[in-house]
Amino acid sequence: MTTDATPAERHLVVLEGVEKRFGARLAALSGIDVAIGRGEHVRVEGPSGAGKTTLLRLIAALDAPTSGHVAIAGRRVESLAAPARARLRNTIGILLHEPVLPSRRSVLAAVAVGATIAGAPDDEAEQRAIAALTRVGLDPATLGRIPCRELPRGEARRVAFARALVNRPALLVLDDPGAGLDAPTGASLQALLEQFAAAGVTVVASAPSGVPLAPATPHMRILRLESGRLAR
Amino acid sequence: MTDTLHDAARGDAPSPLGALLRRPLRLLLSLGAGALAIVALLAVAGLAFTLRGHVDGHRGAAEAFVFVAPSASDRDSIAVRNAIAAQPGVVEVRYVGRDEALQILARRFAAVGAADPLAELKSNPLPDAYVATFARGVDADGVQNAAVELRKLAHVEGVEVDVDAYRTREAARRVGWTLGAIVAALAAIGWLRCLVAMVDAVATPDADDVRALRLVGADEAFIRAPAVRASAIVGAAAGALAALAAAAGLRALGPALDVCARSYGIDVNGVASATPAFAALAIAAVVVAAAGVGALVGQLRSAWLVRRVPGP
Repeated sequence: MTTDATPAERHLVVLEGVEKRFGARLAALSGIDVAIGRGEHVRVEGPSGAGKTTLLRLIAALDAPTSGHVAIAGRRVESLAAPARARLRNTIGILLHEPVLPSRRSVLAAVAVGATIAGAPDDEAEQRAIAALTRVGLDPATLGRIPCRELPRGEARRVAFARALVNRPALLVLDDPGAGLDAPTGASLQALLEQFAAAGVTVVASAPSGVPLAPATPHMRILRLESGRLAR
Repeated sequence: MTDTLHDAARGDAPSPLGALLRRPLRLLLSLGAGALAIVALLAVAGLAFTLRGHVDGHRGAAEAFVFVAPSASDRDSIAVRNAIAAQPGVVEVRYVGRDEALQILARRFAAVGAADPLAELKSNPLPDAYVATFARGVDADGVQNAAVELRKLAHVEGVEVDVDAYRTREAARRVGWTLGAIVAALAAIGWLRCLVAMVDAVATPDADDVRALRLVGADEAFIRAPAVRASAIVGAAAGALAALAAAAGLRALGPALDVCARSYGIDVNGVASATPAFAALAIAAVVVAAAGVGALVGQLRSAWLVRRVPGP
């Protein structure tokens, strides 16, 4: 990368002057300027209602800003048509606070569909799904055929995490990844995220509100939101 | 990997058609609605095809009956005919026997309650009469003026125009077209509703599935694809049902239809007695077309329903 490269070219995620409003009065985010480099591990902290989920949804190309720009891999999200935005989302590993699993599909089908959408043949999609489930500590042979609606919350969350990994994304966007998990499972998931970050995957994860947080690791960058603004 | 997981990854995505097959009453209603719409379309198409040669574009237009003088020779009669054809507004001239012309006029005048003005003509036994048909747009005054000009022609004994009957027919035609348009519009709405009902059971998306697919980057076409495929299959099944019902109906009603049609001078043999080969081709064509219609309606309906699913 040359020194003349723009922020969008040097960084994987760039937010410039981003504001997000819901309705005329409520500004969930205001004046957000942040650049996230490739391979960074970013933790977004803040009290409840600070705008963490809103920020993550913008980075995940699930929403567009009311004003300002969000660029992912150099592409401005707000200027993309719906099909292009969908293709972009397929390359991002997304885990929302709710698992958002297709209730009638089996676990394996729910995880493999992301790879199918990416163009993988059925066999390869299946193998990727099995590998992703194994990576998050689930047994595909046991859970593979179970409809997602029958999963307990903790396992549903891990299946959703496996789905986020199935396309080997360069960017992981995770809203409170430890939610619904017991402490050991949550800790192992956190360790997994550290491994991904160390391997060069950009990880942007929000921390839960109102609970003591694990100490930040040396390579972790903290973004603190307060009332929709980044604290300096 | 075991076959079980192969199946799980490939085959057990929610199938709209599978869900419909597990609900036989809903399946029957879907097929019934679709078959009804297709049978209605086949009936209209069949009627139009059968009547195509019997529709007279000038039917109901104003006409003038020109009675040639008894002293006119054949050449004079031809000259009268040519002069009538040259009149502005006249689009057709045909010969009728005098008696037939008198009968037509008597019916028309009776229909509007007018007295028979033709008594003085009935005593003349010579047969020549020409019926001049006017173009549709010519009003009653125009017809009257043309009749005045026709009376001035040499060798013309008399000219009668059915202006009152024409006015009545024109009014009835306008009312008929207006009411027909309203009925046609209502029928079209009902027809479309039947088509939508045919695919609703398979085109209604699972909201969880839609949200999950959107989250992983599926575009609208990918999300709709199962509904479109299932709608095509339901359409084809409804088409087959409709075609078989139409064939059975024609076979059952054929003789009665034939009698009714012949009373109006219409031959329906070509429709009611189709050979088995043609019928098989026709059924196949209906099934294929119905599958296409099902796919199209399913595409539109599922697109509308998917857009209504919020999130994620």
